[in-house]
Amino acid sequence: METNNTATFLSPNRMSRIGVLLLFVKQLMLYMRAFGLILILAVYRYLRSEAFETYGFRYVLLLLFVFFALVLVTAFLRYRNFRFYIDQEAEAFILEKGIFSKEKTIIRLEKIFQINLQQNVWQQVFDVYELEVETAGSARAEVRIPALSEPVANALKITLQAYALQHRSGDNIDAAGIPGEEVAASADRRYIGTGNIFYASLLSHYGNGLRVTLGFLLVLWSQFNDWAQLFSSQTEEERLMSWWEALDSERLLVIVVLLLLIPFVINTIRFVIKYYNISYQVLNPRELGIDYGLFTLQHRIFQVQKLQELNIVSNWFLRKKGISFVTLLQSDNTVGRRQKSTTVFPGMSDAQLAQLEGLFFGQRIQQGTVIRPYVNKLVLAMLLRLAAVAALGWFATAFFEMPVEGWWLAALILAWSWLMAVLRFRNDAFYLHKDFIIRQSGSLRRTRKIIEPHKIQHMEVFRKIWRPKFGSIAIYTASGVIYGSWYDYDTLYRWSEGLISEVSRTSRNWM
Amino acid sequence: MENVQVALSTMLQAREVSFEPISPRYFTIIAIRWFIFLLAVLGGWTLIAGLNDIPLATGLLIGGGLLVAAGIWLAVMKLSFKYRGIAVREYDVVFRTGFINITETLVPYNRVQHVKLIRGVFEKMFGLSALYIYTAAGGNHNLSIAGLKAADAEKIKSYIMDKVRIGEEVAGPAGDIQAAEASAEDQDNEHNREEDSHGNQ
Repeated sequence: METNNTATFLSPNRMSRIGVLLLFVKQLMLYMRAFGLILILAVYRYLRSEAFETYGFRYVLLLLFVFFALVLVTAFLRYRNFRFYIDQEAEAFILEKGIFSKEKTIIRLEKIFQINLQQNVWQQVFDVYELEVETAGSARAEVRIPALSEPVANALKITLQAYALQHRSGDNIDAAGIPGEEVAASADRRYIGTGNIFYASLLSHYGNGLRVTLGFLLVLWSQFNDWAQLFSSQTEEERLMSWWEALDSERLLVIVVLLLLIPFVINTIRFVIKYYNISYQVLNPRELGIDYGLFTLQHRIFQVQKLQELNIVSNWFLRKKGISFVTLLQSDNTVGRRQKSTTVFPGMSDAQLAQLEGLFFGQRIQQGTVIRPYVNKLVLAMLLRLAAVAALGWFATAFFEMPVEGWWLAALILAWSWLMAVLRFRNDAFYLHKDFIIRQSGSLRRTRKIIEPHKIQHMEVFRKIWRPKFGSIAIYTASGVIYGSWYDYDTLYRWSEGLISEVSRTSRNWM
Repeated sequence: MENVQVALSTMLQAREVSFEPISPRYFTIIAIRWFIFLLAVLGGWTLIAGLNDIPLATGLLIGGGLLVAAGIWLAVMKLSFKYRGIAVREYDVVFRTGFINITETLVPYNRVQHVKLIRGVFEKMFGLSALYIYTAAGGNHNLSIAGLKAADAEKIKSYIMDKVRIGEEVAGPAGDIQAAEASAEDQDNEHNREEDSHGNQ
């Protein structure tokens, strides 16, 4: 690895030349995503029209040529105007871009918190790296430089990190945090293994996959309707309708089963591709390096002190295998960026989890005393389910002439939902310990959200006026909220008072 | 160490917090707003009913229903005043709001990012203020209590700010308030940048 001279970043730099092509491809992909399907439909209609017979491909090719040329020119201008440098007087990293409206981003060096290098498929093709700069205030990247050659990317990363450290006085960083030593500190790299990722994704994220599929089908349907109207042809719609009417119950069943299987398959593939070969490495006591991805290689560095909440999700099957879904939540002040600020380890083994706990908490997670909600919560849940099933049964009988046997099905559904309610109630608990708060929930899938008391920002304790004995609590951290209801109000009150005085007197920063 | 309550309130009990109630004048503001809103709704309904040839009986019935619902809402608001309040203690500030769902919000001083007083037109007229406290909790979660006497609100605000500053001195230069100010600045910058980038697109 070539170590670049710092001086080169003090005057404006451009990206790697190949960046023009990358920007070209990126812009092209963007247009394709926006207009691709309409374009294909338009071409299709043109090919079938009379105009095609007279003019042939001539105009299509001309149009395509002009379009590509325009995109290429824009890409070149974008590349030419994209410049970055370190301004030593202003103590800032500066990035300029834009063709017509120029944009200048200034990041003060001391605010730089984290620098990531990554490669997506196209960046791999062109052999360039994307450099992201994150600042302390927000979890998303402030600056992205999409095409840097490897030596430049590494040099810029090291330079920026060194400057950031140098300017961040007052922050008591020990020598272990100097990024230059990352390479030297070659702690063990641990791999999670494709088998574990496969199990975890298969068992734990069915709901997600189902939602994605349903969403996709909905979008497809609405888009289809739009296009059918746009191109004012009755024929497509009529063809679909006749196809629909031709369906008999057997074919329908096959289609439904296939549709339900799709989420499983898509989800598993998605997960295995996204988290392929995921590994982590404790770089130093302050930083955890994480690498994953099949097509898009991700390299992230997770700042240990930025952790707000640790989630451990498992079910009976995963527990038997000794693996779980582990999610790290970072502090995040920006709304709607939650996805970006979480780091997921699908199928982490118990031994690996123990290592992470050591890194983040300096000890294993302790359970302490447990508090559970009143049984009234379960009773209410069961009554509500009973009412819902009864209402549904009545509705089906009254309007769809459900046969009497249908009530057996209703009873089965009720039994299942009651079983889930019981399981949910059994898992519903808070574990209180001096150093940890654990919120446990879920029915078949058990979720444990773990926070440390000094990460608490504020709390809310609720009670309904007509049942003052029962209370709810919401504990807010910088990454979200932990909530529980139907607990003993007095217990919650005393607990919250204790927590508040602990948080007030702690000398530990939440970030 | 016990989290003892300070000054504003006289009654001190081991576990019970006694809340400073908010000003009854705030109810007048609520009532004025309620009245304006009610007039708008009823006026709108009259217009709709008139334009659509809705029978007088139906019109009156629905109008009456709206009036009763609004009346109940106002009554609930009036009752809720019994539960609204603020308690300023040694280590934290506690709000109590709500009537059906009584919510107590506890904010420790060393997690406060900034404090803001907001006064609307009516608040100015009646000498009241709403107090907003911001922590770094995810999302745009703000903690607020409306209807404090302006002088009290000012006192509480400066008390909290003092507490935050003392906390910072104890914690050293990397204390929370600096970080808080910095991140508030950051957020502002970010907004500007976001607007900029939107402008460019």
